[in-house]
Amino acid sequence: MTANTFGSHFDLNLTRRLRVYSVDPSLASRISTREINEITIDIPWESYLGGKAVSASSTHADIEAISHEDVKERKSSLKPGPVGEYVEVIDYDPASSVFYVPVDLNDPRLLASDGLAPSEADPQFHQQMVYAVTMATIHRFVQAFGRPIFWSNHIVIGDKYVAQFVRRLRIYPHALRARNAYYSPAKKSLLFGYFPVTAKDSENTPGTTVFTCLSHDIIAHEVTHALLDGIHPRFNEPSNPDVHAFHEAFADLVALFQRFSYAGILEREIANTRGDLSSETMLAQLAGQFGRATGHGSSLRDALGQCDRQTGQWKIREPDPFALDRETEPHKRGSYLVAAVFKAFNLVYAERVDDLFRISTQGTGVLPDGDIHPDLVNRLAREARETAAHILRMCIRAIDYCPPVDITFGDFLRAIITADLDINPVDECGYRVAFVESFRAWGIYPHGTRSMSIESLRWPGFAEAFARAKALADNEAVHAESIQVVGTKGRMMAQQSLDGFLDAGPDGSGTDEMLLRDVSRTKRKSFEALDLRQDRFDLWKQMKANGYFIWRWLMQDNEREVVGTLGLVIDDNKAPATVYRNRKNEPTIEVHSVRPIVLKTDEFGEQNFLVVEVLQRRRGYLDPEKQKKMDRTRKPLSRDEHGDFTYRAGCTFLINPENKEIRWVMRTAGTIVADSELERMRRYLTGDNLPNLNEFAITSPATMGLASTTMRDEPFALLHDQHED
Amino acid sequence: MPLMTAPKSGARIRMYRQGHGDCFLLAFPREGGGKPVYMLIDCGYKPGSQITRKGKKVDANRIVKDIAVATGKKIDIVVITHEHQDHVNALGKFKDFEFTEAWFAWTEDPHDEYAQELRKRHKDQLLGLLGARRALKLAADGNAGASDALERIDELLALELGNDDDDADDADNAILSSLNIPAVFGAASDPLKSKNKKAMSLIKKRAGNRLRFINPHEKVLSLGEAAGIRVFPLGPPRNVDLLSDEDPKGSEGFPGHGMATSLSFFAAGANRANGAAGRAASVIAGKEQPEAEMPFDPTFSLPKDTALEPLKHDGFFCRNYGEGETGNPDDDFEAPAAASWRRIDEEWLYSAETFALKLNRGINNTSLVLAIELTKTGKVLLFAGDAQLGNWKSWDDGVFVVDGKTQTARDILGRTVVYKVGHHGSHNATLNGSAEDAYPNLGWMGRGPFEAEFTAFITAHNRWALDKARWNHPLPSIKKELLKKARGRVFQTDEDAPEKPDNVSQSDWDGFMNDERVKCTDLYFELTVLDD
Repeated sequence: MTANTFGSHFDLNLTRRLRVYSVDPSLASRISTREINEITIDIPWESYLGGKAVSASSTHADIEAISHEDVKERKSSLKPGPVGEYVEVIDYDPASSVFYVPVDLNDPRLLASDGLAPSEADPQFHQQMVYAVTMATIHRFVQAFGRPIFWSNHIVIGDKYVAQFVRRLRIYPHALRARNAYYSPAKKSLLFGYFPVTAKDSENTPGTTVFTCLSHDIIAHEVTHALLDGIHPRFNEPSNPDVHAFHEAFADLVALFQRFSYAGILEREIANTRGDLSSETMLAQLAGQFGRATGHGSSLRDALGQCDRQTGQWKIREPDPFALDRETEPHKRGSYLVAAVFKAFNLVYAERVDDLFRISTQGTGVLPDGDIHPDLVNRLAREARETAAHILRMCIRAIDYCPPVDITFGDFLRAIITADLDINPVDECGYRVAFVESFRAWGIYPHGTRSMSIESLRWPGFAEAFARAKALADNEAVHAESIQVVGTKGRMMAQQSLDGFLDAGPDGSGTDEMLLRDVSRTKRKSFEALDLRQDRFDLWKQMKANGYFIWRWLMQDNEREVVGTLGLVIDDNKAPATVYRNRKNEPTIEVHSVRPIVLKTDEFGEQNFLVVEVLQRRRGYLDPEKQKKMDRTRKPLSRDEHGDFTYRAGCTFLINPENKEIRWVMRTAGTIVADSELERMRRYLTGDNLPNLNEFAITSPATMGLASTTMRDEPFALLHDQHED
Repeated sequence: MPLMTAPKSGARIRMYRQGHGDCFLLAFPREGGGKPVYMLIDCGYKPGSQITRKGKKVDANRIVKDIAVATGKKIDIVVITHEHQDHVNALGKFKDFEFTEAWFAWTEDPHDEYAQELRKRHKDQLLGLLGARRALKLAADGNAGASDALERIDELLALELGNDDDDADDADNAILSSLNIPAVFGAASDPLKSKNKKAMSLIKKRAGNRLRFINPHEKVLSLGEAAGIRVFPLGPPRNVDLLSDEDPKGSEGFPGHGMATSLSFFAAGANRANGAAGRAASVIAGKEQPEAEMPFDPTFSLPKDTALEPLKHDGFFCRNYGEGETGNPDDDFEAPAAASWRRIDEEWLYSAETFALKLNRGINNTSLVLAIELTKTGKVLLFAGDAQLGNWKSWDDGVFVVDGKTQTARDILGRTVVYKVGHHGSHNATLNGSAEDAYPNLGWMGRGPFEAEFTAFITAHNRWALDKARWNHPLPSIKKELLKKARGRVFQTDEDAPEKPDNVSQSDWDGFMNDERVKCTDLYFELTVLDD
């Protein structure tokens, strides 16, 4: 293997310890926080994956699989940069026309001293810090999902369409001279800015420099954008006001809850707030230094409350069920979702520590004045840490349980509930109930849900979805008791249609060349459980091939029962002309993602499932009359006819590759033929049904990309300009 | 063609259609009779944005000729709302006109200290931007993204400078000479002034010393010898940081004195990037930029060119950032390590556009905002210039006293029957809201009996703005709201005469669209507002 393509893995028997700023450099300059300014975090030890014999990935399920023989050398595979398996730090500062010399974290002196000491003046420490925090974040995702993670593909559109595997996310710690930082989907890179402080007040010293790459929260936020983009690149396509807001909120949530895992800050904040994490606390505040230096007077965002700029007094923000009706700016709208999740955290935490307060106060639960006992601090911190870890895990796992496009906050709630049912069947601590209570208080609920109970919030299983689809199709009520029967039949049918496929010959219409070439190299005939213990590039190829087989399987569902249940339409006569079709004039199905997920199916073992995302496309027109006309066109529309926008619909489902059992069905709000959903998207794009604010709404995507949006096409910028003033 | 007449009582308003920009001619009856009192508000357009009618371009020359005939080349009052190309660049064509008075916002007052400070900052910011623009130009060669950004920045810079030449270097020279900085480019330079400045100084010269610099809410103005007219100046505000760039106002007045501003820090980088081309903007700006603009001690850094040499640092930079792409020899489905699409050489320059937009917005907010009242009926003609959010919000910061009675912005806006839409209908230059809201907004305008006459003028060439400048002018949601509020009575530069909406009765429409009140020609729309 060449130097560029070595495969490596996380060696779980070793960790690399690296020093970082716990929040950002600003804590060092205040006497009350100087002690927690610096922390040492454990990140995975990356070592060589020496061929197939050494099979180890970082998933918790695989710890046992690492044998003594497998891991003989344990030599670090990390190169100067640092350049590892998942990320590469390339420190180019184009505004200053210089490169900064890369840090070698394997230098024995650095190994012996937990890396470089935190320093604003040393760019090599900056490299170390961005590496450490991104790896900590990546590791959290790997652990939560139980699989290696992937960055989004680089798409080459030349004579043919090729999707390239991108092994590493690139990180430029000093890319911009601007008050911004972003993940660039086109460059598969994180770009961090730096800027001078110009405000002069008690928090800021003019002339000093703020480096966004030294803010734990900004790094975690931006790498989360990259991780989400890698899971599904279409996930950020704006089709409702929640889509962009969701991305911002999710990135903030990861940054916030990740901090709970570090020793020091949490204990201090528990002591400071006397165990009440719903009062003002650093734990709920994001990007403190950045916020103060850019004139916010406080942190950039606060999940719990805000500082009154006049009085300087912090005030809690009470849940407001109507807040979402009034806000479209992504960061602000997203802040309500963050607040809702943070409230869910607080509900569970309060429940869990109630007894501790009673025990330590002779049963009164009322704390005396003064500091609380250090033992109590430690116990409370432990509860908070466990709660936060579980909440974050729920949120991350939920990503696999979202529809493939058009995400809403309500969908996310359903995804959280469903995902948690899989990892935590008996909800002893009431996590799911806490989410429901908190989301209801913030006015977040899925459309068309009849109740906010756990059973009606979770996504339907295959049997229910099948019965529902059938009831809709046949226009007849299906009695509750018959659902089980129909469901069983559906499951058997799924098995049959696969068997049918196995006999069919190859047919390559509608797939990319890469797939065909790769699939033809393998001897496989169907999709299969994925081998997680291989190089990520090999795994990536296996996932692509699986996508092809899933696609074949769906297209040959002669009874239309699986595709019908999944909300897909593949019959020419059932779809308007604007739906994209293949050469045979059948509406196409695109399999966008097939990724492994490990589910605990019974007390003895875990089972590999596949998370599959399928989508269909349809041309949308801003003019409803033109839409009607084009929908009714007789002869097939040209491939070059793209309409004014693309409406997508489809489904995410979990399938057991061994017995073809479909576990959950997460459909978009409508199918590809649903005119009402197309109309809703059109109205969103034209800004027709956005809430009225004092400014006329410009966040409607039809106007994005115009002068009001700078930073070009970077949708993940830390700050957007358009709503300043 | 005869002179433009005024109604016996009231006002006649012409909106000229010279392209994406403002030019209004108003005629009022003169106290004691005689020729009407003429008022000209702005005259400018974005180059290339002219409309074509009957196969002929409607250009500024035709407009100025029309104004000459309509006024006999004698204009009582010329108002310049703010110094942007699309409001002033055609004023240079008024050489043989006579102006009795010229009105400007206080921001143009040469003796106003705050205004001086603002102008200085504006100049510094322009210089910084120019540096970035030049670096971007070097990067633009063969790079679609950079060329695109360059085009957009040039469009924004042109607003500030008034240059209408596509020759990019012209912007450099225009700015240098307009700022009285000696050109340093030798023979290539041309001591031309920026067109904006030239137009402004021509007006000032033609108006002699009868220049008026207007403060908002200071006093109620009369309009020369016009009969039955009062003018309430509502903006620009004095109490907000008009040219707010990213730097919050420091405790000692203005940032930028003795400390780096965000823009100068950015510009220092831009200048460094220009260094290779032998054009240090630090020299251009007439002062040396300190080395302190580098973020780190030089011991940590390698100059870009040496760093990329193949043997430097074991080839780390060459291999990972590199000049050539090194693919995976085993498989072309893995993206190469040194792929060119991952490089970021010009990414940082794109924030120049952010700065340029802020600068534009700042100048837009220096717009002089006038509410012209017809005293008998109290009807108001609201000319909002290009005022954006910051300016709008200040309109209610003061009150006027007329005949012992207090007049608030809410009162005045409530009687508005003609609204010159702010900034071509852009997103935050017409505030949305209702009559109950606490800040001035569209909902405050044209209330009660005045609603029946409410009419809006949008100075925009929509197609040009979208295609060339990528500006969404007018914003569809604003246009829609205006059409609804005015019940179809909306004039727009690039559109023909307004058409009757379905939900308006024919008799109501005829009451508006009749020869007495409305006249639509290729050159202008004319509306008569009666004061009785």
